[in-house]
Amino acid sequence: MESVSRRKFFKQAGAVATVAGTMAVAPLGLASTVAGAASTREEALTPKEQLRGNEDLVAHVKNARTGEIALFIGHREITIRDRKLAAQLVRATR
Amino acid sequence: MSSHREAPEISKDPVADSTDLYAFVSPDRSDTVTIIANYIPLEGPAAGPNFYEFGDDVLYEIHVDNNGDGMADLTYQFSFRSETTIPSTFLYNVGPIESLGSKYWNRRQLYSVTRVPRGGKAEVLARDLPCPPCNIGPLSTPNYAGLASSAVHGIAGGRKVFAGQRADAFYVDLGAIFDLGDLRPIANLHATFGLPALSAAPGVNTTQNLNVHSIAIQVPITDISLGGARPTNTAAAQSSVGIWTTASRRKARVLTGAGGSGTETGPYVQVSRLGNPLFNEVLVPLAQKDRWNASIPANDSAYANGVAHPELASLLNVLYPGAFPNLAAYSKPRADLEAILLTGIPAGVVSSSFSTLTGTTQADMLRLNLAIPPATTPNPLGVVGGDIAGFPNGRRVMDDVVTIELHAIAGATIPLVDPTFTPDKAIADVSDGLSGAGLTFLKTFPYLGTPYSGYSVGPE
Repeated sequence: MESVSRRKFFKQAGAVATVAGTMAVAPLGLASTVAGAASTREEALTPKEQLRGNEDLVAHVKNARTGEIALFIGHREITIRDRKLAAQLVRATR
Repeated sequence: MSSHREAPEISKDPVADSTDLYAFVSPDRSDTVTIIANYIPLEGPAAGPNFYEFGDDVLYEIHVDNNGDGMADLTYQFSFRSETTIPSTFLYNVGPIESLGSKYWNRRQLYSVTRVPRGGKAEVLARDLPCPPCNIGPLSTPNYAGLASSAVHGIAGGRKVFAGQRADAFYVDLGAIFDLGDLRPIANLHATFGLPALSAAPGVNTTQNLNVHSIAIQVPITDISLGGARPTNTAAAQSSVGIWTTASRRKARVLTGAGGSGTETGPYVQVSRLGNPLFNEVLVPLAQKDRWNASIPANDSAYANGVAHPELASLLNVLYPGAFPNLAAYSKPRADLEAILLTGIPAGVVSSSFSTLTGTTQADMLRLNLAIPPATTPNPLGVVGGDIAGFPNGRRVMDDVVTIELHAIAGATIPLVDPTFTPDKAIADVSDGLSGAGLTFLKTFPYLGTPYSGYSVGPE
């Protein structure tokens, strides 16, 4: 299991893709809203940074209080701690 | 059963559920070892329209520990993918399948084999090997035995592999054992809790006419032995290896709602494990079985109390009142079971030249002494029957592991480590009444018998 900073995480995978991936089981409108909110604060992904092909990214908010979020991509699991992002995701479900 | 549906979670995930593990020095190629890991319990042969297959989303593994630390020094990985070649039909096949390349065969499976040494580089041994179809019936799979034999593949390094349906070689009277242990041959002696008495009766084989899916690999002994050497000293700890199988699934799965299995991502996590038959089934408390399935042998000291003080042994004298007084009075930890199941049997216990010891690490692994040649006349009771080439020195397809383990738990093996103990006379009667009569095996790899076909299994 790897750990990365929030900034590196966004650079690696991109907030839009992450949140959209997280909300794959949520109504489309909700997912779009969250994605839009995050993308206003982050730079858009460069073509090189985009997810490859049909690569999927899944996020699991393990502990909203501490901001622990597990990210699954390929055969890897990456853990980040971002209370702000975790709170944003939780609020999006309310 | 040996490990069929043995824990709450895995009982709901049949394609990842390991049922039996076999490991033995190959009787027809004594410079090789054969390891067979069975999955998918209780396959009814008439399974159309969707016949059984391995999980494309499951990583199947066979692990070997050759230095006694309960960790894998070598792993063989098996990954499957399915193909549907005739999208327009609802049928598994649209004509007789007479070869693995048959144009009439709609749903087929292919697999890859990878060898992963500990700390070393993974080596793909083979890709896109075809599995045989399931045994459907005389029109769909005529000459099934010949068809299946064409799915035995010779691969790199003098190895052979087979992955596909086989007849289940495990036999047990599950209906009796889990009805509070009322073994039918001695049911008349069983406590009835105020209910009407039972009569003695022959055993009933729960797995009769049922199939499993087998992953079998035959490798040179030197492929798995410590340092790649061929062991010759039957008493040396370095001659024995520990073997277990696992199944793992990806950590995250999202169903898309568009049909199919959705998307899976993240690392693999282990959901099933099997070393010695009946270990998780009988010796691990129900509340811990799922955790045991997700753990590794090196951590099995956490479950050692269930081996040292097996619940079933304490129940026997209650279920069969007064029949096991010596066992009931025995309060010492069961060093015999700890040796058989957790560390291996040291030299000098059975004989000065016999050992399955791998070290002091307590780990549930099927231990095989690679220096002991195959028996010319195997005894299904293995070591307790005087045949040191059988269970618990590895496990052969014909070994009667239920009788062996029932007798051991009932105290038959205590005198090996504690000569002051006298086994109860009732041990001779402890049996589920089954002997495996009627089961047939192949004389060559993959040894397990031809699976039952859906057409041939009918009314008695």
